[in-house]
Amino acid sequence: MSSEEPKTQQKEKPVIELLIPLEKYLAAGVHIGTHICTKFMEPFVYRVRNDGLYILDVRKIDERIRIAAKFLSRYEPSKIAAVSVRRYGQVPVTKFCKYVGCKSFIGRFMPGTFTNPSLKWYFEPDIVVITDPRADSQALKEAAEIGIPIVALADTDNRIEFIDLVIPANNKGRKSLALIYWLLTRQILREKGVIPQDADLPEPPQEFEVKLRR
Amino acid sequence: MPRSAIDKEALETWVPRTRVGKLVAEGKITSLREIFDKNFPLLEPEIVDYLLPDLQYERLDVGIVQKVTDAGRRSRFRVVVVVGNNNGFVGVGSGKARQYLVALRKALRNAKLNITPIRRGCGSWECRCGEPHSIPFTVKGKSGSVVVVLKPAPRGTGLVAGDVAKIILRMAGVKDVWTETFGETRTTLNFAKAVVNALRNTYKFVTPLDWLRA
Repeated sequence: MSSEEPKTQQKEKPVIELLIPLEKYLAAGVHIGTHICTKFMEPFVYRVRNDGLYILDVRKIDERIRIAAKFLSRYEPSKIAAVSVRRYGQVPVTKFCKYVGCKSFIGRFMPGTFTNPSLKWYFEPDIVVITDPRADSQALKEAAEIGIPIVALADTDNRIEFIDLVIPANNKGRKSLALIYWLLTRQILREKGVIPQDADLPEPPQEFEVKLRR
Repeated sequence: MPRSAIDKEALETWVPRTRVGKLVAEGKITSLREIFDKNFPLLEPEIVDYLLPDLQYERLDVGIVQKVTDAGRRSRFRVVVVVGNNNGFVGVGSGKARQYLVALRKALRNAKLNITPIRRGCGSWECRCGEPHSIPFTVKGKSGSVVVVLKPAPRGTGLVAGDVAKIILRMAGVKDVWTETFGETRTTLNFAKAVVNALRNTYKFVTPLDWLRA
């Protein structure tokens, strides 16, 4: 990364290249935090808006997605578990798992899924991707208990206990979750060499969104 | 009178369901210490059976517990057992069932899952022999209202402890120790758990020997 350039130039055009144009990030609302900010998430905050809303740093989000993709791509896909209790995370997680080949846990997370071998639905992952550390607290707890790495999307109001790799992001928004998982999927496939470095997924990020019922 | 705690039937028909279980069955893990050193989850009691063939158990307590229903009282047996190999491993477990034997089996299973390694040594300044006949330092354990303090004693002291604690310390392989207890030690289960907790705390303490290792 070339951070040697003068600041005025930095304002005109972003020095660090993002995975997708900045406007797309902003349009999906990935950077929007909450009115609360925990101490853990302070390093990821860009600024505080006048009405008290915390704004996340898009560059840090981008950087963390790259790191997370690199990290996840080193694991066997069938040993990755992706969890989402939240409604808006369910479609992104299923799509993510469809492309990457991992196992998705959507809706209620059955207690004991990771810790009780006598259950029929017992699953033993090597790494877990968690959508919301608070909503998916059961999955977080069990993953911590069996001692596997945890990657989690965390908003400004989340605590980051037990999490090994934080991806700062707005994990409440429909579009935001779709975009984050789309980017993560694309980046993982690129890292693995399934698709070329500059190729896109066959589906646009809109396909990852939860469809609203009219 | 200690009896063998190995469940031979279960061990013969054992099909490992967890990664650690498979490693044990394949022979990649040859000692229980390895599991605790590497912080692997111990989720199958058969692992303990397999790795500690000389495991013994002793019954600490049998009680009848009752649940009041609209049709009267439903009573069950509650069995508390301690398992240990007289050489550095102990565990306490309890099981409840309508029939005594079933309760015992449950208790054994529970005790095996709760098994813990203990550190022995000679922390007594009156002895200073360096042999592992006592504990290396004073430790404290707690469960419910019961607080147990174990103190290293010179060789030949024997186990200066209550009956329940004496059985557990013997199963753990400690020869000489002084104890002090506070709280309601007539509650056998809590007393037993407090002693095991104290023994477990021998590994929670960092000694100069551990600095060398790290």
